Amino acid sequence: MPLLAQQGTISGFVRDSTSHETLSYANVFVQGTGLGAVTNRDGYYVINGVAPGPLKVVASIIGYGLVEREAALPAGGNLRIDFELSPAVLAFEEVSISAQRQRFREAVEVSTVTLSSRDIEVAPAFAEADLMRTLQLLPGVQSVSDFSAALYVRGSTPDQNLILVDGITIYSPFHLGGIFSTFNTDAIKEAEFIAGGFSARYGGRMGSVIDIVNRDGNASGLAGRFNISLISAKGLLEGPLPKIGPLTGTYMFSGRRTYLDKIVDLALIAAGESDEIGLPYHFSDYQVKVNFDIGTRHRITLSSFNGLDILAVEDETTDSYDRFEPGGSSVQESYTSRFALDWSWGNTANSIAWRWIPTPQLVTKFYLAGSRYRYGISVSDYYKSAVLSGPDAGSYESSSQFDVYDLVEDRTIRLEASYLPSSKHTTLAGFEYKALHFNLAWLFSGSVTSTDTSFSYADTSLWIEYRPVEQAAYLEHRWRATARLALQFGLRVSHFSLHGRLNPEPRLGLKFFLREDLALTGAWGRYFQYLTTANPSDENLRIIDLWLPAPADRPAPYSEHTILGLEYLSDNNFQIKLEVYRKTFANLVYLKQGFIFFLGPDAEESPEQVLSEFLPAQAKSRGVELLLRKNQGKLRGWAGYSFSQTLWKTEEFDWYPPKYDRTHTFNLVGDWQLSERWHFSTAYTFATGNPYTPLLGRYSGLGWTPYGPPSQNDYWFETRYLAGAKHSARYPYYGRWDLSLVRSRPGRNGAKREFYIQVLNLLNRANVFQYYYQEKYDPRTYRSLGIERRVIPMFPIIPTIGWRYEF
Amino acid sequence: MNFRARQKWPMWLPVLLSVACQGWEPVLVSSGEFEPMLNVVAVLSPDGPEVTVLIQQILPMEGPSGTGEIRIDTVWYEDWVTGDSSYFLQEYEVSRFEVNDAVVSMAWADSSVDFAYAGASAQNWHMSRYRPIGAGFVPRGGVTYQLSINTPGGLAVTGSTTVPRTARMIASYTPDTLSASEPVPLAWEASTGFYQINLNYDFNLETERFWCIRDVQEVVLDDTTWLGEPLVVPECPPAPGDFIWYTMSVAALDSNYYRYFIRDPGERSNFTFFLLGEGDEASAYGIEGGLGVFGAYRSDALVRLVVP
Repeated sequence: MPLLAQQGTISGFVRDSTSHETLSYANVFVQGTGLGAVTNRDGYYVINGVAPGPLKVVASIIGYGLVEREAALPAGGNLRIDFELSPAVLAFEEVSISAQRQRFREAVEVSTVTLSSRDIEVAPAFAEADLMRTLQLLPGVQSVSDFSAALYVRGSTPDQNLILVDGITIYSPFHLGGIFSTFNTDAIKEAEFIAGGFSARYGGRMGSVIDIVNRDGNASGLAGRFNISLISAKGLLEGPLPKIGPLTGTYMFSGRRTYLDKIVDLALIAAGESDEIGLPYHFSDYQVKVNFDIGTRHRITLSSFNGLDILAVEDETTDSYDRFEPGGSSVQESYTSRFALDWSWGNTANSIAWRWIPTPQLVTKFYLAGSRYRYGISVSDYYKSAVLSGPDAGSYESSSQFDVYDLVEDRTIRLEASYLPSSKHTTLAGFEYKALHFNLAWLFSGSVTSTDTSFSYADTSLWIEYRPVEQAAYLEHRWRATARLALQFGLRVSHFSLHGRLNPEPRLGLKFFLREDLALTGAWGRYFQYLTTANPSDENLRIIDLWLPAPADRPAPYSEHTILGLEYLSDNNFQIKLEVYRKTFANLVYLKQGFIFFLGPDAEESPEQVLSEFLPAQAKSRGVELLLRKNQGKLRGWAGYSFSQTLWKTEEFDWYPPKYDRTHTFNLVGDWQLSERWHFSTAYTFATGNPYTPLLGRYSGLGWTPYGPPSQNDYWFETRYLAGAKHSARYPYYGRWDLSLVRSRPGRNGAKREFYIQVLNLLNRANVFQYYYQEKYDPRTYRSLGIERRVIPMFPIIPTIGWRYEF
Repeated sequence: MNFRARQKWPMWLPVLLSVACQGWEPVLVSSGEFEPMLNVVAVLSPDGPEVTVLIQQILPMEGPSGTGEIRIDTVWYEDWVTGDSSYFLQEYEVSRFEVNDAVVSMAWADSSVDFAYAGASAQNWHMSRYRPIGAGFVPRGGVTYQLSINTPGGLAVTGSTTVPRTARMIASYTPDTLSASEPVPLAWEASTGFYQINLNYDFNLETERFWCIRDVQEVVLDDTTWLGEPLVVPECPPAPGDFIWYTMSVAALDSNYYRYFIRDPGERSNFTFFLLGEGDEASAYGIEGGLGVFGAYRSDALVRLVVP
């Protein structure tokens, strides 16, 4: 038998022995052979070309004890060896090769930062730890204000970020107008953030990728954690499913709800004011993940993600009385008036994923997912009056209803296969089919019933609906050409039914090791995007997103990324990353600024036309980013600096910096384990102020009257401010210093209690959210003194406290 | 000097405190690159109100909007609670926007008319109003008018507009009486291509059904016919005996008027936070050297009875 034919394959998963979560970038090698592999993001490894016979296989990763397994590999056979590594806090130095080092050696990942749940949890945050807030502290990421957790990445807008949770696309995952993200950090295992140059497996967005992997659930026993902050309570439970024959599994459930509304309700009841309207708003979210393992080759994962915000107000007044007539007689009358506002928005996403490993070298995945983002505003009004006695006895009843909603639904089928024939080659191929549904509508309806007439009416003021299909096939190949050079080629070909053409999206990546600890990196790629948000581009507070497909009558928007970098990783895991990038955006569209809510007299200015009237734009951005990161030891954290220039070009304004452009951004994130019980973390951000349009002067402008014949009698006037060049001035610099202090106490049976206090914007700096102007008057003489500029600030100083329990 | 003793003081604290709590106070602002200009509104129409030219000047951001000399108007109103007449004193400063010394003239063909300062505008006391000197200035359809404004301070504006020819309504196209449930057909002779249609009602209906009737205003571009929806909500017809008079007019607009008042009404604001914007992109249509509009329109009308 030829030698090659006798060689076999060893494969398997590496997991944490306590939580049973898979461990990525663990090192697995066959002792004494020089053969080895590194686990991928799923914790899976394959070692090919192993000579048959008895052997010893070793698995290691920093923070865990090294595990050896002895086995015998039959000639030409395959061997499945799964490892479970035990956390070994004191064994740091015993493990020579860390996951980060392995990742540095193996992966061609440009502009990528991975955050563990610990990284996310320890960063100071507004009331709650928040993934998006932590990502905002990374180089290349900008935010438009404290009130938004949305990410502006290297010149891209939030709608250009691909957000995945366990492979499901999530749209607009924000609560409370963007202040919080919908992701409960308890459920997150890790989050990978790719600022640009991402590989062919990712598509449909031209900005960045946030790929979140939720916890699988603890396979060794019931575990959980609970957290009470000033605004919400949240919890997580995880554990194993009962074993049924070859079927094993785990589950994870996490949920969160704000409770201020309930507290206000209780306070009103206690005060005897239960009829009063309390706080009519709350948000909630939950995430569920259930894994079923059927033998060693099949895994089925069910995931569910849900986030919901509700603002609901209802008020009813009823009265009956006697109305006295001039002659002294009386007439009994009654009325009922009811008003209700129901404003809700949120995400729902459900998926089923099947992973099958037909051969050790071939891993296939099949996804079936549905994701939906919807907001709806429903306003209803009801009135009924009645004359109950006398000759005019009768009744009048009217009701009206106004509904606005926007919906984006995404039903995805994805097939993906990765082939790992050797340690030098990895191939990934996939196909994705997305059936999308966009629906934006404004509806009026009502009815009137009186003693002598009755009718109803309904009007659809706006109805925009599309059901496009987006399809893509992709192929990605990673080749370790030499010990110094790793290359990654990719091609994604996408098709959008509204445009009807195939768009090739080539992707390239490389890593060249100048030294063992220093690598030159590079990436280039083209990225198409077929949907957009139809919000005005200049708004800096976005309560809701209006998702629409890219207009069919315009070419598909796309961007090109070019990235060059240097990456250094020291022996003690001190990381330095320097990257230079350039991005161009073509065929962008932006919404015509105008009268969305104030309808003009012109039929052209109907809301349907305004919301579908996109104007062409292009953009470009360039920048330099530096990241210094320390990932181990008692003192951890990072310092990041970004130089960024983003420019938009429109026919109306030529080139100008968009609202979110910040030229210089410096972030410092520190995380210090002071003692076994005390933990301190801090975050400081300094950034150039956002652009705004300066005012050149003022005049008494001519208003517009929508009704009546054209006549000078219809004019009205108001003080107006004459705008200068668009976004040609900048607010003062943005600065914010946050602190967090955590005190931990051990509980019974390994449980842990934590009390934390956080202070946001410790210096109480008035970072400018928006200027507004008004005439200033002398309070005594009421004479004008000039125009006064006032600041609408972002967060003031905000202290928060919370309590966490983990078992 | 006891260096050690000084080190006991946290020297960084004053620096820290000096940067803390900054920026919350309002400040009086000034313009960066201010360029003085005139803002002019002048509309010509043979069948509109008397022609006036409204002029004001743009002010920089700094300084008061009035000169400090106050006049007081007594404003009478009816108290809606008691039904009694009441009043309040409206205090005015002399507006610094107002321009009362401009030399204004309008020329056409071989003729011209000068305008004289006539006080503040009835609608806005910041806006100076100039009226034609002498009686009888009525713009004519099809004639192009040139506007010239100069101030002693060196500000100058010129403008040009052509009064449209009448978009004469074709009476035979519209039935003599309209049915409440039938759409309204209108037709007119071609003029500028920019038309504003106004349908206004007069009625003797029971008041509780007044909202069943529509006032209509539409803009039609490059067409000479229009078919409107029924003027009365179909589910809410007039009762027997009710009648409604509708006045239907078509105004031919010149492009300056159309763009200023209809296409970009009230200029364009860049709203960034609810209704707080970043100023207006003030526009100029038919005006050179300043802001505003020099426009014109001409109307024709029909009156029809709507029956149940």
